[in-house]
Amino acid sequence: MTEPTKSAPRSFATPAVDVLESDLELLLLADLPGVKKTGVKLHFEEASLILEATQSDGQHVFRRSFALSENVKTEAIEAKLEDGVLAVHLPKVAPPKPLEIPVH
Amino acid sequence: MFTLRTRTNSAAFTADMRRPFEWFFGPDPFEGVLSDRATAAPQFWAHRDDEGLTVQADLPGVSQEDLEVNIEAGQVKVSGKRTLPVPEGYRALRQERVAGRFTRRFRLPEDVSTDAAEAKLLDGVLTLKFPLRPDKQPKRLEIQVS
Repeated sequence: MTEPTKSAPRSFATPAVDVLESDLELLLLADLPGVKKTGVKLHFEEASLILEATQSDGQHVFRRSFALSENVKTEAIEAKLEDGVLAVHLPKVAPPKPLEIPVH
Repeated sequence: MFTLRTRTNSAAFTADMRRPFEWFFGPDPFEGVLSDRATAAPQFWAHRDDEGLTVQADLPGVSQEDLEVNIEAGQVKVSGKRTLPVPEGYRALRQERVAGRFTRRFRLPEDVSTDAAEAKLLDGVLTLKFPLRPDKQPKRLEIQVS
C-alpha cells in the first residue's frame, strides 16, 4: 500500500515517444501529460527537430530532440495535440515513380 | 548518357527511406531509463493541503471510457487500459510508450470525505480530489465586538 506523500519537486523530463512509418510519412507520437497546445514549442535547429513542452501547471518541462534526415519535407510538417499526446506528421519527400516503358 | 531507373534501383531507394529512422534520433542518454519505464505503472502524485487531498496520475491518451475509479471501504482503486494500436499502413520503428492494463490502489486518510470526491480527466492527467471532512476543516472563530 502506498501512502500518499507530498509531490516531489519536478523538473525536466524526457517524453516517451513512438515512431511509426508509412509509405508517405513518419509519425512521431509523444506522451505529454498535462500539456496544453499553448505549452508546446516545436522548432528546427541545425537539421534537428526540437520539442519543448511545458505542463500547464508549470511543474514539468518535457524536452527531446530528433535528428531529421534529408528526405523529410520539413516545410510540410504538421502537429496536433490531443489528450496529452502530441502527434507530429513528417511527410517524406515523394519517391521517384518507377519508370515503365509502354510497349507498342 | 541515358539511365533507366529499374526496379532494383527502386528497391535501393526503399532501403534508403528506412534510414531516416536511424537518423531520426540522436544518441539517447535516457535509453535505459525509458526501457525501465516500459514495465512501470502510470505515475501517481499526491498532495495534501488545507482543502484536502489531491491525487494525480499521468494517463496521456487514455480515454474516459477506458478508465475506472472505485472507492470502497476507504480504499481507492484506479484501473484502466491504454491501447496503442499501430494504424493500418504504418509500422512501428520505435515504441517507448507503454500500453496495457494498469491498477493502482491507495488508502485514504481518515480526515477526507469520499462523498464530495471529484474525478477529472484533462490533457491526459487524471485528478482526484478528496476534500477534508466538514468536521475536520479548519475553523475560523468569529470575533465578537462587544
